[in-house]
Amino acid sequence: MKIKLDFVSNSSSTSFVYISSEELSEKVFLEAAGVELDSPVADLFLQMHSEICNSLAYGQKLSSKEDVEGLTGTYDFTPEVIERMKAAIEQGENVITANLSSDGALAESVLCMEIFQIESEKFFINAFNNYW
Amino acid sequence: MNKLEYIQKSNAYLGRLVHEIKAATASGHFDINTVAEDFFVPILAELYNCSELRNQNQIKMNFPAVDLGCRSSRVSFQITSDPSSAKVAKTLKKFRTHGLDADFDHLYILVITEKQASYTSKLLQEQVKLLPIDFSVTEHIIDYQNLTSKFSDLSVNELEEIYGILEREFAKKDVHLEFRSQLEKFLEFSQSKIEVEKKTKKYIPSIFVETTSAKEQMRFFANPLFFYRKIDDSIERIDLNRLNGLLELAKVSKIEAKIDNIKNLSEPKTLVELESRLRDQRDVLCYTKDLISPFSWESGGGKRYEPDKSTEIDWEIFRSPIQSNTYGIDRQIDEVISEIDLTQAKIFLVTGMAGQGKTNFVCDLFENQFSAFEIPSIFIPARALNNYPAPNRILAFIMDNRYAPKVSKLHELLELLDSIAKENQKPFIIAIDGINEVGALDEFDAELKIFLDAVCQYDLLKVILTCRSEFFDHKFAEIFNEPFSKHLHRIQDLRSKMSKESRKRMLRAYFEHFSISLRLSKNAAKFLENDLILLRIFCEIKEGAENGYVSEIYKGDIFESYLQKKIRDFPIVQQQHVLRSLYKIAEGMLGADNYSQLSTKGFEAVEIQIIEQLIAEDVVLRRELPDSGLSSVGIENMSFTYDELRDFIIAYYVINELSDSDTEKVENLFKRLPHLPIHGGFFRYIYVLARKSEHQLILGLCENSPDFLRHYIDNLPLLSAEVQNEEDVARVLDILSTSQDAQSIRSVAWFIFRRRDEGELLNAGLLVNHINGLPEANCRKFLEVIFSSPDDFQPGAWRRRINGLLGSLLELPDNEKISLGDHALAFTLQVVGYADWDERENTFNCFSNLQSKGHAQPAIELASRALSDTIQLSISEITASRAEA
Amino acid sequence: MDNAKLIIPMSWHPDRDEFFEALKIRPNGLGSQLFGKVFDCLFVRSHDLKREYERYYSVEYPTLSEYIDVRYGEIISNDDLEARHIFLVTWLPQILDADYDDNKLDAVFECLAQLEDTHLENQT
Repeated sequence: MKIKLDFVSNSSSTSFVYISSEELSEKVFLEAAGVELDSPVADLFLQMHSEICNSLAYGQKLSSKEDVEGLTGTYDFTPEVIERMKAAIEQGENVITANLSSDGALAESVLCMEIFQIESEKFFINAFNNYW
Repeated sequence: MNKLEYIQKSNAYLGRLVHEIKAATASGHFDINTVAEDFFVPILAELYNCSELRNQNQIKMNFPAVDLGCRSSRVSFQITSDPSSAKVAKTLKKFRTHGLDADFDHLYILVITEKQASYTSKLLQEQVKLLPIDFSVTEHIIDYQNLTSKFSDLSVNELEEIYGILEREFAKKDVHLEFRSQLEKFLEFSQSKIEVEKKTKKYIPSIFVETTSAKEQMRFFANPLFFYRKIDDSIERIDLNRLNGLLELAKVSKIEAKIDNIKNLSEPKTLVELESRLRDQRDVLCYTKDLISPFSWESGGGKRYEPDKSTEIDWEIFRSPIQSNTYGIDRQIDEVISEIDLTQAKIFLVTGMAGQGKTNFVCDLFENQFSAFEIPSIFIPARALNNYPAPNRILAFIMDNRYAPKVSKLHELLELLDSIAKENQKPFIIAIDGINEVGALDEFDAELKIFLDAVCQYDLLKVILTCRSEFFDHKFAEIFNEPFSKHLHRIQDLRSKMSKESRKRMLRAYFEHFSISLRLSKNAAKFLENDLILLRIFCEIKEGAENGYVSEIYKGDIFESYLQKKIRDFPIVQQQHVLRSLYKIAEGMLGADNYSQLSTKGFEAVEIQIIEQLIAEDVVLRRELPDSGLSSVGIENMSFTYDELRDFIIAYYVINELSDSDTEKVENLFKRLPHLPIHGGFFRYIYVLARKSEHQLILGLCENSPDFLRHYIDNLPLLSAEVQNEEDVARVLDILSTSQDAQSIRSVAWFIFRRRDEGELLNAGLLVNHINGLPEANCRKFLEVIFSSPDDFQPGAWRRRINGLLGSLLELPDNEKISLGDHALAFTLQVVGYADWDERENTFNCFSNLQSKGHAQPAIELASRALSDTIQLSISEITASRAEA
Repeated sequence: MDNAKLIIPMSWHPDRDEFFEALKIRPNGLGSQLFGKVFDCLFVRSHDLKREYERYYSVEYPTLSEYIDVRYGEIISNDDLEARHIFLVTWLPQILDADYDDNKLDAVFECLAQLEDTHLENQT
């Protein structure tokens, strides 16, 4: 896969949080992103799903409210999201923070640059802290 | 009136009609029915012998169209303002489905604006086939130009009839226009002045290259009641939704900017209404700017947004995208505000260096923009003001013509112009082109200030000024301190970067204008495209040249031919004085050691006359700022417009006159030459001239100069075929073989690489042969040198350049590859072995392919004489794969 | 002169909902957020040269093709000149960036071609 060739770019990584009781499946992700499986651009979103899962595999699972408190002051998550993370931990959901890099393939780079939040019945992703 | 006059006047009326239709269509005010009834029914009836032509109203289209028919002649006309194939196809379909062929054998589609250059759409062709009557897109789709071309076939009586129709209908339109005839007179007057600029070739219409941003600014300035809609469109595009979305996420109150209040406003009917409307829009935009500026990267010195403690984190997360977004909106708003300010500006000032095209710009405005929109205007070439006495030169100039109104004072004139403007609801524009060309500048400065001050007292009058920038900044800059300066808009860079395509277009336009059908090599074309004054000079000397090929441009030869032409342009009695005058200037500059200007003091009357004429053309000489002080009153300063031409003329003087009369002076000149600003140019041309005339003294002085070799290498391109000799060949080969200076080797190698004309001694073959004679290690070293650059910091850079060269060759179509010539192709074969794998393979394939088609063999044979193993290997690869195939 | 990245002649009148439908993207999700930007850059922030010409420049320049050639340095075919819109796109978002092998430019263009075909079929 050809990576964007450039002079030495200011590569950056941004943080996101994933809250759910289950692993993120392709079907669920696409559904939440509002993209049909037979969409002509579905492969991009499947790639995004894959990048998110890869990032989560290397991410940090937060197990306690104190873990979450430690994120305050990092300017990665808004107070509401911090509260949501605490509530999720209380309810026994998985709360994982991970990173996306602007230097990666298109799917990862796009996610890294975009300010987004996905709310679905099955999971929550917040990526307000972005490339900027 | 005679036939020609009827034709000219009818053409002018029709031209005016078409422009008015276009303007009305563009602003959505056009009523095709009225125009068809009033103008086209009677004209078509006359031109096509359709005595009973009338509106049939049988075909109803869902776009503006009029259905006319004459049953006695069985001719039908469908009139439309939309020239598109789709509309024509629809019209044909309707004609067919309505069965109109029962009544009509001929159908014409009259496009009352301008038809397309061609009609090739499949949809249209289908409809043409299905049409039960004969229809040809070239014959039966017509526009006003087809109509006017029929005029010459008409008798005088018939033309009188047509002219009568047009005159009558326009008289009806203009009956309430008190100042219509005045307007027409001013338009004619300006056009006559533009024609003078064309004759002297200060303005060459087809050569004018689109200076987009300057022209765009002028549209707002000169025609606000038409172009205010662009401002509306720009405001429409300002969207705060994204910004407000981000602000909401950052827990910041949204911006309530009221921008919607200034969208979809009602159409202004007058300039006064427009001014008020624009003022309101500007106020809201400024208010919006103030609202958003705290959030921008650049808050313009104002307060920056500071979040509360409770929302600090939210703000910090979204700060950057908010700032970026705000900055973008801020720039958008600034652009719209500047457009609004342009509509209200009173003075449009264009300054720039000589040769930037200021006159072309203004003349093009008049000929195209202003005439198309009938913007009331006067064009004043400033140098013509020299013929009138101060302090009222501008007024005197305007009054001195047969179109002049009966006024005697400036304010009387301005009141009249203001009335014309009011009646037409378009500003009256007075353009003064080249104010630097007015003599007695101090007096004119005062007159200009009074004039501008007077103009600014009238709502609807505006002024365009052009001036050379160095003049303006020295002489007229105080204008910025005057009260009227707040109404002034200035452009300093008229020629925004010209694209490659623009340069090519400009070259074609020059050639067309000067009727030159010579073919140029790529090198020659590029040379001319990058030097406008040289291009102009080249065209003047080659005017009318046909059927030749120019492989190289030799500046020295061109300058010499140009000088000779300039001399011949003068009356015979003056010709001997022309060269004398130029020699005197050269002598004066050398004597004063000042090459930027010289005063006219000490020149005789006949010489001054010659100088004035050359200044008027602005190619050889130009006026300079005069010295101040009593002793300088009445004395002008001048300079050469083009530094290279100056250097040539000085060299010409030295070799043809000074070297005969005063050898010592020449020797002293050569001694101090390295310290003079004319060093490079003078050396170049004197060497070339000495070579041409085999002037031993000068040649000796040149060759004995300490930096002769550097100059020689730099000026190789100036040695024309006639001048090149075996000594040059030996020198070049010597440099390639023995020079220790990489830059010299590079310069020489690439110079001869580009010389594809085998008729010249210095050609690419020398390079190929030199490389062939190098054993492997030397060959590699040589290629590394010529493909390297002093800035390289990575070791493999030279190979990447070889890749680049091969890449550019591979991109060419085969015929262009072949046209590069055997030597260039042989050189490619010599270097390919040192390229990277991809490029190597692709080049091998390319050559195999060419060889299979019967090309490239001579190049292969040439390269096969190489001593280098790498080159031999490359040749084998190609010939082997050819054998396999 | 704008640096043209793309010129898109279309007779289909750009409609955001139809665009999403063709891409099989539902509104209000990440998909519509990303491809909404694509729509904006192709059809909202771009310049419709035909509209510009008809509204402002038809008086000065005799034909649309000459206008586009002189002002933008681009030659447009006769067929493309017939389109209802001629969009000049000067900026492309990352998703359409040709530097990435897996960019979505072709997929978007295929969608647009389908929308165009459907539109033209409905016209005849």
